[in-house]
Amino acid sequence: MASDAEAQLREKVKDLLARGKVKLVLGYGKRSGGGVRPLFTKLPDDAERLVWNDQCAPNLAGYLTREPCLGIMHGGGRVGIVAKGCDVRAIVGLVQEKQVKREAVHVIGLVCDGIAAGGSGAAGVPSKCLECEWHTPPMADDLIGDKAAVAPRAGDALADDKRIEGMTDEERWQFWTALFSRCIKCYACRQACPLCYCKECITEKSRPQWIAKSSTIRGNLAYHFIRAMHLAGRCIGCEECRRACPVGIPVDLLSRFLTRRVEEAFGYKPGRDPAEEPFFVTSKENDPDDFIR
Amino acid sequence: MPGNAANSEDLIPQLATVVAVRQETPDIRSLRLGFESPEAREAFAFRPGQFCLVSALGIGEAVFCISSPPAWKDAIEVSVKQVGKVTAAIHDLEVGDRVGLRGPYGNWFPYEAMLGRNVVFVGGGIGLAPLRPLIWQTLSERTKFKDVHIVYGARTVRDLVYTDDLAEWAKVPGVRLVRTVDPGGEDATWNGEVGLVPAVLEKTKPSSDGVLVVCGPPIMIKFALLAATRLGFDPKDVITTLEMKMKCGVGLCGRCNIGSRYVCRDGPVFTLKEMQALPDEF
Amino acid sequence: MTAKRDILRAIEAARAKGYVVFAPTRLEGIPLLAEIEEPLVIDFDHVLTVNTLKDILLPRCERLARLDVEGSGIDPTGDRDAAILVFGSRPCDAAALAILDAILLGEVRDARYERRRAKTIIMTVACSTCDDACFCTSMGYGPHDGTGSDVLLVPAGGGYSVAGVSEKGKAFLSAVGLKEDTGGGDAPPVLSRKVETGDLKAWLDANFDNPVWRDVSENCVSCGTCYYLCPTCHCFDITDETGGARGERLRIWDCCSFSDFTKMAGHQPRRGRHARYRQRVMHKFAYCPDNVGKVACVGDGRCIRHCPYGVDICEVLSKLVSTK
Repeated sequence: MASDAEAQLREKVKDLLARGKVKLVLGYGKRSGGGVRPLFTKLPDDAERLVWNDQCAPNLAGYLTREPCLGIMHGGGRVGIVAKGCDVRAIVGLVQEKQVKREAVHVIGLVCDGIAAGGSGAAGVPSKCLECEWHTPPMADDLIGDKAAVAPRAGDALADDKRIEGMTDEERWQFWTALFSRCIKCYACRQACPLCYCKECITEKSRPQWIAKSSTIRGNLAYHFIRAMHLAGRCIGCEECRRACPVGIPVDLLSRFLTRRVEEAFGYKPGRDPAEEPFFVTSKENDPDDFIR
Repeated sequence: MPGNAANSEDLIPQLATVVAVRQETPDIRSLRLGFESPEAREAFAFRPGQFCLVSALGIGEAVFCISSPPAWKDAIEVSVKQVGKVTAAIHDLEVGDRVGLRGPYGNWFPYEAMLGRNVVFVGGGIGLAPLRPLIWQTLSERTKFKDVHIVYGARTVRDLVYTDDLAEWAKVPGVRLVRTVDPGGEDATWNGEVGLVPAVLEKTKPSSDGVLVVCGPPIMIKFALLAATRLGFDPKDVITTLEMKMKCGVGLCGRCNIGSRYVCRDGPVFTLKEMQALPDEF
Repeated sequence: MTAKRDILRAIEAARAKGYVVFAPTRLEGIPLLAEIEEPLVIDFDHVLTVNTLKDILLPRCERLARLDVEGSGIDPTGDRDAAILVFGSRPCDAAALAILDAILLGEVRDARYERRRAKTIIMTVACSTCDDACFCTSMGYGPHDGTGSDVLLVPAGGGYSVAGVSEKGKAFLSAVGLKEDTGGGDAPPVLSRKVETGDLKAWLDANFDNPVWRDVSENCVSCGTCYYLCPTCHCFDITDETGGARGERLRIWDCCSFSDFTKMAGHQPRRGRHARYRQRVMHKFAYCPDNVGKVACVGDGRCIRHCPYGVDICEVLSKLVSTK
């Protein structure tokens, strides 16, 4: 990724803010100690603080369903957002599910090779980058970067998926139980997920208390399994949940596993077309049903 | 002022038994709770204004003000409005069922500061519950006070609580009882006032040289405090009891604070003067 | 100076006397304080463990009682009998305990915390390095500070100096045959991060409604990470979990950023992320000073290090005090 992409980005954002095309631009800024963090730019001069590099892992789409963006868009204003291909998929999901109006968002797409090893906190390149088909973000109102010069990261994105698919039922149960046993129920994964926007979460329902609040195995599995069911066919694999987890659990493994099964069975991939109906609200006559026993 | 709970708290309730149940209104039920031994009841000595935590075993625990006169020897009473999981479970309890009980916690109404003065009690809906033990205590020593006014109202006639007590209070010499229901809440036989409690309070024009004690839903308290100020009461003499979500009840779990004051430990009784120094977060 | 092997021997002696030992280890590379069987697994190369002494003294999920609705009712769960040795806590972690003591052992004492605290020895290893998130010196502590520790080991020329900070600590050293040895001691690391809090308390007392709270909480998504990792955050929930007529009453960590922390039927006094973030800052920097005379922050920097969205408490505090 060329650093003149960063210069172009700054110019573009400065221009958008100066001309009043957007009230706010969500982007990345420097974080003390290295790395990046979200940066809310409101004035044209704020654009100088924006950065673009191979550490820009966070998915900023989650801010679109919260204040101040929510208030801006409800008031008829527009919000700009610096977005990689994976981030745009989240925006597409929000548009499909009518949480955000397409015209209220100004997508500044950045061509992306992938996040560098260690760039999202954990060692190694994020697995989402290894399987990325979206190096050039679709649905961009402005596109920055040279799509011809993309050098994608190499590796087997599907290694975990294949391993899990090859397990017996008993092995899978052991695998998921072990994975979620160290969950501390901080709900960082839920807060980090751009598609977890429910104002009242099922974890907060007390009549009945579907999900035990404790960080016991019953509380942890209930939470993660129910959340994965809510994300099946919706999870766009941005790995924000994994990045946010303070105890290093790859929370996304289950919802991505389920989403791949949805793709295999129904040919539906989340986050590819804002005009597409969300998966779970449609049924077609030729939907397969051979797995119903 | 601290409550008189032992100052080492292990958060474990004692067991108590439901000895009587009284349906006050369609969604409010009073439970009389008996203790496992006379010593247990004695150890539960409380003052009007204090609260307790009642557990529907296996469902959960919730906070209730103690709504019975301290003079009752064998039992205490709580009045429960059904609003959620725990209160719904408590509403399902029958005589003979057991509950968990912790307390008494919190501070209490400044009874001594009321002696020799005019007193106005203002209650709305279930807000009469924490006032009830204080009213009984006051009326049992009636001569120690000057005028006693009670202004009590609810949304409709069916939502009035403690109707028997209200009738008793009205009979005490020198007690002026004004009952009211919200506009539209009266029925054919209603012979009280019609109007929101704060408005009716102003209409009764109580002397501002006295103490005013108010409890009800948050919005009613807010307007009643404004009315009390307009009537000329000194903020030191205007007293209320606040409600916030609570879990431990003793100032450990960090939840029920308004600013730096914990409602469970520095309250639930506060004067208007104290509240004016707190952030608007309740 | 005392050699590391003599320290490890003392830990082994404590184990032989029945102490349960907690020490820093690595789990998939992450430094975590955990129960150990064997002193050789102790990690000495980390800056700070991700978790804190809270895990041991105010556990994340603790059974208070068994519930048997149709039978005995409530059966309180007893404490684990063994004495506890925490080895390798850092000075900031120990200082946090002094703050938790002020809150949980005040006018009303948390009985379980009190019992566990009484049988725990805190054997702190002072810091030889720090990272750019550490700011203990700005909070009045330091990388070689002994506040809250029973025993303090300070790196000294390849080994350690040994000091019994409390009476309990001195008695412990004697019991495990480790002599006090307070000569020497390497120079403490120099922290790069400093924050001047100045008139912070006065600013907080006067600015509850200041719109700047929305600005400083912009990046925050209320994920709960900073609360769960903070060594002085102590808020908890009590919940009954049963299958049928039997189950348990649990005490679990809770967090003022969760929207249902203060939500009652029909009334939510803290609406909005900014209101809950304000509660976090106020509780630590205004309410705790009012109630127990201490700021509830030790500058360990976990909130800064681990926040997925880059919220930096030092930046927040600087911005607040400089806002009209």
